Amino acid sequence: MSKQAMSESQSTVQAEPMIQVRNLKTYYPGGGLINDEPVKAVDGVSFDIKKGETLGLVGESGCGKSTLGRTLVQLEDATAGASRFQKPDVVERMANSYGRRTVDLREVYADNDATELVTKLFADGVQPKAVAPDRGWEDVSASEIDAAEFVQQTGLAVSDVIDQGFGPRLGLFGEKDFIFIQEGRIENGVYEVERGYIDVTAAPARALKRLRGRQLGIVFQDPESSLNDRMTVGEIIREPLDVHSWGTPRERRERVRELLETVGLRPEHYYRYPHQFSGGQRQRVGIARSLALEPDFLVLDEPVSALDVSVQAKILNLLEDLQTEFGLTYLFIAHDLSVVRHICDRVAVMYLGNLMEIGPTDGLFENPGNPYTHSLLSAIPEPDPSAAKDRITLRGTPPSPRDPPIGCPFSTRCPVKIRPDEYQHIDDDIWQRIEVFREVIRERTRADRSLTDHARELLGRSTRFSDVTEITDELFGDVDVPTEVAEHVREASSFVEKGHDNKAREYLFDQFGSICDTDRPKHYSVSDDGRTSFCHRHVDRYEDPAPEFEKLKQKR
Amino acid sequence: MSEVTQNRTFFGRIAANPTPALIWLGGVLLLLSVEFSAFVDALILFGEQINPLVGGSKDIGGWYVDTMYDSLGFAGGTVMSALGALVVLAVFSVFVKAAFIPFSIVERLGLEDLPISADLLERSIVGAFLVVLWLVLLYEPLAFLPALPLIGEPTLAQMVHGFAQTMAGIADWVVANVPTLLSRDLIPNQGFNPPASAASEYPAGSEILGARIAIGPYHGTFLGLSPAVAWAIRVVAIYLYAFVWLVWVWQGYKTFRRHYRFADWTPRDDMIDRLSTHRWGQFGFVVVFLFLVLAMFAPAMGPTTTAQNIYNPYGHEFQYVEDGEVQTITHGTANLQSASQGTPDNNVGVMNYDDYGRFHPIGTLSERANGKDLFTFMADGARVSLFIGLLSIALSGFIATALAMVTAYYKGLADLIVVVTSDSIQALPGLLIYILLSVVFSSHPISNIYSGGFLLALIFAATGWPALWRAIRGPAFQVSEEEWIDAAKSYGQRPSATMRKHMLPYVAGYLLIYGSLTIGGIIISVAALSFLGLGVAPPTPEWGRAVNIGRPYVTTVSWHIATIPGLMVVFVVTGFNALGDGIRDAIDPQSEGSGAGESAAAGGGG
Repeated sequence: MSKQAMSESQSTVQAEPMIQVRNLKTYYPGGGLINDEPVKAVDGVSFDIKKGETLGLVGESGCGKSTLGRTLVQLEDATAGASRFQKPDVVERMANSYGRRTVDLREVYADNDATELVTKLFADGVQPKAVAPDRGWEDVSASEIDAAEFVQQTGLAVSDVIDQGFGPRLGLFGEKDFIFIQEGRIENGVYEVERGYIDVTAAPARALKRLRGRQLGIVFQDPESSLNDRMTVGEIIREPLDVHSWGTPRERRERVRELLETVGLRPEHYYRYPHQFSGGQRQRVGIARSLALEPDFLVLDEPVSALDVSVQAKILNLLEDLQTEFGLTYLFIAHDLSVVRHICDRVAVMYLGNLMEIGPTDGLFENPGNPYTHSLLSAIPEPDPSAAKDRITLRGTPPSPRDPPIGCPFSTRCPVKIRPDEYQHIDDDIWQRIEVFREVIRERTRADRSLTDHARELLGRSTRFSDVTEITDELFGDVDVPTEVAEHVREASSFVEKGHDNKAREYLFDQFGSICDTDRPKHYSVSDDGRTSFCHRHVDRYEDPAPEFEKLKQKR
Repeated sequence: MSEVTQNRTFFGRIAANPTPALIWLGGVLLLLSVEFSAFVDALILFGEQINPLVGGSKDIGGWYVDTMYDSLGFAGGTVMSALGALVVLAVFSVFVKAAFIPFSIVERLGLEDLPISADLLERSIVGAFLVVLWLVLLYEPLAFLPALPLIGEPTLAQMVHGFAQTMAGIADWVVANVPTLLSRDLIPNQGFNPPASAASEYPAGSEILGARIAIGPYHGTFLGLSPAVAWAIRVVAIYLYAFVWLVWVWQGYKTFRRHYRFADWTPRDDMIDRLSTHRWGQFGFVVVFLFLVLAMFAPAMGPTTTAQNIYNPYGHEFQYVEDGEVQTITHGTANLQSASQGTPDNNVGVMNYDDYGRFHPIGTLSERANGKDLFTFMADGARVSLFIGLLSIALSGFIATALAMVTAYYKGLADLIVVVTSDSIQALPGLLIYILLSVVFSSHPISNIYSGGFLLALIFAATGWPALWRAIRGPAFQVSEEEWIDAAKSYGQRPSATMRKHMLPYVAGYLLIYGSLTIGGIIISVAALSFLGLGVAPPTPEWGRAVNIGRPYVTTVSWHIATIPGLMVVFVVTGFNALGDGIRDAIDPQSEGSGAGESAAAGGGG
């Protein structure tokens, strides 16, 4: 397994991507009066989906995978980043009707100098790691390096700066510009596009309306609630055709009948109501509706989760057949890993709004790179009850997406988290207890305290937050704790006793925090087929996750 | 069913198998033809009410412009008038665009690249079009064309006016000359039993299409029967006729279901199934039906006409027998003599004749109301109550629905604004507002329409929509959270169409329920206002006024004056509430209703 950091962004590895997601963030506003931290449902995600492939998106509930899917079809507004749709004929059509919002990137590349742009960015307070992420500039601040030197060392081009979404900020084009042409011609004001993309997140409502249905589609999880049950199945499937004035009314009705047959229903179901169908049949109706305009890219948001197993197989086969027939590109969101393994070409593993690992399905399942993928895969139930399986049970619950860890998002629960050097010698059991202690303190800071809790605390009464000495006794009472550790635990406990939970948390972070706590990892290439994993352990200094897991297993 | 027939539209299906539709249509035409001139008469009445409405809105505009010029001088007045016109135009163009133009004008005209919001641009285009239309109507620029004066200045407004005149003339002719089955001309109930000496002068019976057939001795009544019997025959005939209509409409629905509908089951079938076992709702339906027919056929229902009884009693004469001789007297004089005054000597009670041989099914009013016939008064009053109730419910329902759709779809700020507005309106003391507004507008032209009934309906609509909006806001929010709203967005459906197709059908049921529940409240409020001497101005009849007039006589022999109208108010309001309950249980099987589980199961089998 190669351990070098990725030298180039993923886009160049893949040939002809249809969807290019760059640093996409979707935050939900906090809304609270006191705590207005946004919920970071999707927190900076970058990946590509090739034309005709199926990308699986897996993760625990609440990890942001549905939000990501909904953001790609703009059912949620992206907070930052770009989701680029690349299909020359569509880009050409849009460019010709939204000429004012079209940017010819070649002109931009030719007119600007990378060094100049980077100088501007540095003057603007942008850090080098933001300009060139995943390239080893994490520890360098803008004041420490000269822009020209930086550009020279990174080989940064204007396209890279634009790729990171700095275009509008630098005034290279307007914030509302959303059509970008990379190769093509303009003759008499008519665009001919050979390569280019549409930034879906920046597209105005009217342009989106034209993209929706024809280029972007979504199949929902719950067939009970995604079909309007006051309309007949025919009306439901015909609606997208009506919206886009597809053909004549007669052709539309015929098309609906065709679609009904395509998804394995009968044409005479046209005048039936959704009530009259089973869950699987209803999901077929939903799929037929999404397919009505043959969209290039379809988000499948857990399309089989609400169905029973026998029906699941039928729907999955149907989806595969349709993909072959129409050349569709899927983003398949699921939490059932066996389904993902069955249908997907590549898989992305998501945790707390971040992609932990992404790569071809077989490699990812057989030889997972990321600790989180390890844990997730070990949770697949074994059909053979006698098979001995070492399941990795994750401690605690995922952190709140309002307050994600500063370093690696998985650092609070990772079984193979890197220890600071000074604690390498400590017994695993005690280290485990320290981590639990930190987890407890973290949970305490997260818990909502009511006014009565505060009042009780001030009056010195007992609250539902148990006494910290009880916790330390329970955790460390029966083991021999090294003095330096005991010292730190005592110090933290004294903070908690005084009611300064946050101080205790920070103190523990300072004392026991490792690179996993303090630094955000990068995506490292972990296999020859382009799989990348988001973990510090892929750096040469540290042991890889896989052997670490082996060690864990042996200890049990 | 073959592929070919399935692909037909509704009219295509009728063309393929026209017999059932034609049979049904024939029935409709037959039913229409026997009452044709009555329907035309109703249209004339409608036109008469619309006319001052048009004039009224013109007056309001003029009043606004005048006030602005008076108070702000020339410059200020011009600015304010222009602003007012702009506001009205903006509102109209948004409405016209949303309601009548289903396609995108901007895309049709290829104006997408203009640096301006598409919605704003579309509304501006619609607005400009409306301005042109307005100017044409206002200043009649066609009159300046040289050729037009030659044919007598037929400006656009005049042409419209002339067309209306012609139509009104035709309608009047129809009413005067086409016989109606259920009219007092065909089944008269006013007549007298001539003394033996004058029997030859006054032959028994009435003329029916030129022939005079008589069973009884009375002159001028239907078949010479006594006025009471003749009146009863007419009332029963009217209700029979209405019932036949009802049956025929139901028959039409069944014909459609059997021959022209492809869906073998729709959710509506379940609703009808549930309603068919809902006795309380059926009771409500029957009461409401009786009330509606009473209101619709009011001119033919009463034993006497409103003109004779209420509006011009001294302009109409009739004949009666006194001391063996036939006398002539005006209705007004006779009414005064036959008022119910609470003493056995001065009382015409339920199912009684007065001294002049006139039949009063539920007695007469007191002297304060000039001894008018109570039934005629009530029948015409039903129209007023129904008019105010329906109009205000329609208006407030429209406002409430539009706002519910917008607030539920966009949420956030839109919702907050409407919440604050509706709370402010609901915080006002209702009765005081009614009294205040009826006094403020008492001399305004708008208060003349339907004797103030129109103004009352507007006031009820303006103060009533918050309650209705509150009631349907919940369901609207609920449906706006459904995934099919997201789905509609995902294939590019317009917000207005999403609201109409995917939200409104779920809210409409609730609107029907709360509307029918509220209409009872409005009828009571109107009656209460009339009881207090406000609201609908005399002489236009109103149920509450009858209760007020009869109040001093409740404990006497003339108890009928207050008691019967009071009971009728109670019945009608209960009927509307019962109907509302029935509809609610039919639409929402989860609410307590009989046999909901069974029918849902049956429906699921479809």
